[in-house]
Amino acid sequence: MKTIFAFTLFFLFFTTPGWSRTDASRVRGADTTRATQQKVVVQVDGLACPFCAYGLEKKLKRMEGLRKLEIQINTGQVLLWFEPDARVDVQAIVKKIKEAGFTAREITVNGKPVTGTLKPRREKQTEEGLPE
Amino acid sequence: MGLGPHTVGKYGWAIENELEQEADQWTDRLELLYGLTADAALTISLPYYLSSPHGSAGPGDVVLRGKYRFFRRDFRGGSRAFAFHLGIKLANGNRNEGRGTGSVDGFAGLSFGLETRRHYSFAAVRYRLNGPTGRLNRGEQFNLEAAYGMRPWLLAYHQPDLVVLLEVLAEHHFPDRVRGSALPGSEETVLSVAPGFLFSIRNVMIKGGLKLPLTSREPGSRPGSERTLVLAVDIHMPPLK
Repeated sequence: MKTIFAFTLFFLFFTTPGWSRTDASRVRGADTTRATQQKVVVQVDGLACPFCAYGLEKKLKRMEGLRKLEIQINTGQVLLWFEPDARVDVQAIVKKIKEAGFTAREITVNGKPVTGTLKPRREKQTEEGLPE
Repeated sequence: MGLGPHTVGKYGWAIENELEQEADQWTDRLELLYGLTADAALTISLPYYLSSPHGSAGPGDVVLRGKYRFFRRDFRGGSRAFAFHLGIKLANGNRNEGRGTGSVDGFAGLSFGLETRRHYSFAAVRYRLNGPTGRLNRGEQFNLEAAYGMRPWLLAYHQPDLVVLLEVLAEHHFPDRVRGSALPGSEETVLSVAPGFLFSIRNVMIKGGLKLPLTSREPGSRPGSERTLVLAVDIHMPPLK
C-alpha cells in the first residue's frame, strides 16, 4: 500500500503540468539566452579604482541593446552582454571608454578578437598578470 | 589634502562636501566638479565658515580651479599621469570678519599620479601668488606635497574600497611686504605629515585626513600652520551624456 501511495505521489509530482512545464521552459530559456545573446569582453587599461570606474559603468550602460554589464576590477575586464538582435558597435564602446578616461585594449565579440580600432599597448605585460 | 591628477571623465560631474577644522575655525566647503573632456576638469569651491577667528559665520572666498591631464599612460590595472593645475581665489569673503583675505590670489601647479590596484601615490608642486590687500602684500607661497597609499584589500567592483594614505607636505611662505619692505618674521617653512584614508562604495567616497605640522614656528600665525582635520564626502554623479 505504501509503495502504491509513494508511486502515485511521485507520478503526480512529475506529471503536474505546472511543475513540468516551468522546469522545462526554464532550462530551454536559459539555453536559448546563452546561445543567442552577444557577449563583448573588453580589456580596459587604467582600471585601478572602483570609485573611478563608476563613470565608465554609467556611460556604457547607456548603450543601445545592452542587457547586462559587469566590471571586473581585479582583472581590468569589462563584460557586456547585448540583446541577440542588437548591433554591437565596437567603435562606440572604445569611444565611451576613452571619454570615461580609460583605454580599451583587446576586445572580443562572441569570443572572436576585434582588431583595427585599438591602440597597441606600449609596455610589456608580465606573465603573472596585473602589476600591484 | 593635496592635488592629484584625477579627473571625472567627459561630461562627468561630482559633488564634494568637505568639513575642515583648524583650531577654532570650522569651514564647510562645497565643491562642484565638471569634466570638460576625459582629461580636463573645472571645479568651483564655495566655502562657508561655520565659525571664524572672529566668531562670525558666513561665506568665504570662492575658488575656481582648472585641471588638465596632459599626459596619461594607462596600463593593465593602473595608470600614471601628469596634470597641470590653475586656480584663482576671489575676494568675496568678508576680510574684517576673518572669512577672506581681501585679495584676488592665483595659483599654478603640476601634479603626478601613479596608481595600481594595490598602490596609490601622487606628488604635486604649487606656487601661489597672493594679491595685495591694502598696503600689505602677502608673500607668495610654495607648496610641495607627496602621498603614498595602499589598499589593504582588493575587493570586487561593487564592494567597499579602502585606501590608507600618508601625505607629507611642505609649505614655504615668502615674507609679507609693506611698501616694499619685508615684515620681520613673516617668512616661514612648515613641514607637515597627514595620515588619512579614502573609503568608497561605488560612487560615494568618504575621505579623511589629519594634518600635523611638525615645524610650525608660530602655530596659528597663518592658515595651515595648526593641526587641521578634514572630512569629506565625494559623490560621482552619472555623466550628463
